[in-house]
Amino acid sequence: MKFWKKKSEEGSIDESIARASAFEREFSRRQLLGLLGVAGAGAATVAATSGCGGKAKAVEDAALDWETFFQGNYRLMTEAEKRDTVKRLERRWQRDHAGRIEVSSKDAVPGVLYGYAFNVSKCKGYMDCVKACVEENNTDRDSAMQYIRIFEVEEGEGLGLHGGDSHFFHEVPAAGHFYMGVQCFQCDVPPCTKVCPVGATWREDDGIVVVDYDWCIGCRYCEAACPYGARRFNWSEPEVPDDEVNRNQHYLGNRLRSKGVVEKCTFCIQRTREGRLPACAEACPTGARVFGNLLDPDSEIRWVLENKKVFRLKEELGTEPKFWYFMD
Amino acid sequence: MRRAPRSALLRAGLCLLLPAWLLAAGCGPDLEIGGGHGPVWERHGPGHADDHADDHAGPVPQPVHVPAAERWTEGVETVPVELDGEDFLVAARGPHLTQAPCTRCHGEGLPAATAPVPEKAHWDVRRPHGAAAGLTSASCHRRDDPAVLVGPSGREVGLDHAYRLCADCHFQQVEDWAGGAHGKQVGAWAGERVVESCAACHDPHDPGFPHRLPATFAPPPEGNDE
Repeated sequence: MKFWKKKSEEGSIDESIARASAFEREFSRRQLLGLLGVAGAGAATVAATSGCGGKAKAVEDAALDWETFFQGNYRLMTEAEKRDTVKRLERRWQRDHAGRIEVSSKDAVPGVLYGYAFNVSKCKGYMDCVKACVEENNTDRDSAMQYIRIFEVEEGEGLGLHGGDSHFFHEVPAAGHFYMGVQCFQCDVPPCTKVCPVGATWREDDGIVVVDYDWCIGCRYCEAACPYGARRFNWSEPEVPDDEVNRNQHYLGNRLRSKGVVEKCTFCIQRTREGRLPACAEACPTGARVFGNLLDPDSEIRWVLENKKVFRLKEELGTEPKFWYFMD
Repeated sequence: MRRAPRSALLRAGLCLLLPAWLLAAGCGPDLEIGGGHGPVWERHGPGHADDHADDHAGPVPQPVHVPAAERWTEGVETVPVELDGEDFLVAARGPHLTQAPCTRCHGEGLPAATAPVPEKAHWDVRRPHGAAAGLTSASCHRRDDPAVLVGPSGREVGLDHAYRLCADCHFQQVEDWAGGAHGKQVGAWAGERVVESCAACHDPHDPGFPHRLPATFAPPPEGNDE
């Protein structure tokens, strides 16, 4: 069995990796440090109640920093640890900003494998999907980070991205051109997760390839390994104005990232795990985007795959992207 | 010298076995990419050895239940549709109509197609749709009650079931719409399937999509990682 096929049963490869890894051996040490941290925070609370109010914030910040520093890999966390982790993120936000955010740690829905289909003959290059994606996923406004690229391809160039222009800005649809959207294809055999030296990116049970932004060391191997150019790197501290932050977040999805980590499209994990359509599919004014559960034979996506001529990009690589293109 | 007969035997064996294997594999080598296991969803389907559903007791419920998924289509007025063997809901037109009921003005029915159009009547309605083919208001609207649609097939339908009228000409599109390749799903992928009506995206009188500037743009790569 391959590493990316994570099994939770006893004695599986992942389990043995986890056991053999430093995580397990260091756990007692981390636990100890964690306890020290809690003790420190406790002492701080005592200090705060006894009059040193100005220091209370600094002390809680330090306690939050401390716990975050020793935070484990999300995939190895227990449910309780996941809950604590997202609570900490919510608390951190609340301390420095007005209002609250909600960070989810919801797991994959059993019996779901997400798939996407893109109608090449419908897309008109309006880019409403890109706009909706940026607003949904809290991507850096400063560097104008976008997960989706819409390629304008001249008719006759063939169904591919070579010769396509993803930086157009003129009235669309341009005569004699068609449009192809590219984003993370959530490969079923993702090459990007294999090269991660720290196990910070993996394929979830519902097929979504995710990144633990707190575990990513920013080596960008995954970015190089992706044959589709789907991953993005934060060269600077991402900037999202407070009033534009989407407060409905997921730990593995659109929560706020920091400088030096890789991120990517997650099929809007914070929406799709709640049954909702991804922001891009919802925003598309032409109905070029079809999203659904590949395991449900009655879903729209399955109808498209079974009744339309579909193709995938670079299928010969064996990456099994779960993103198909089709035509009317 | 002792190896020669063995390799001859091996060759003979291959000669026999290879064609047999090719025949068994279905008249030629399996050229499917990605391990030749069939489509992705069959590899993860219920009961498959790799599937995590095995970890849970019993088969995966079909369709999958996502708690509270109906909240994403809440407030959308719908009507049930049965078309091409598909059962689903279509968003009703009612809440989007600004001048209904038509009989409020057209109590006497539609004027004759040749009658002069009064100034400012439906000033916002441009009707390039089928203009070249000579379509008029009465090609789709019943004369005595424009809210009843009647097309070339002569079948009368209400505004909520306009897809049946559209299907008189655009049968391929309506078939795709019923299946899911055309049109838009409303709100959620989970739960009951709700789709937008034809007129939610297409102005029935001017169904094409406009030329316009994109909603945003991708800035050119400037020292960026592309």
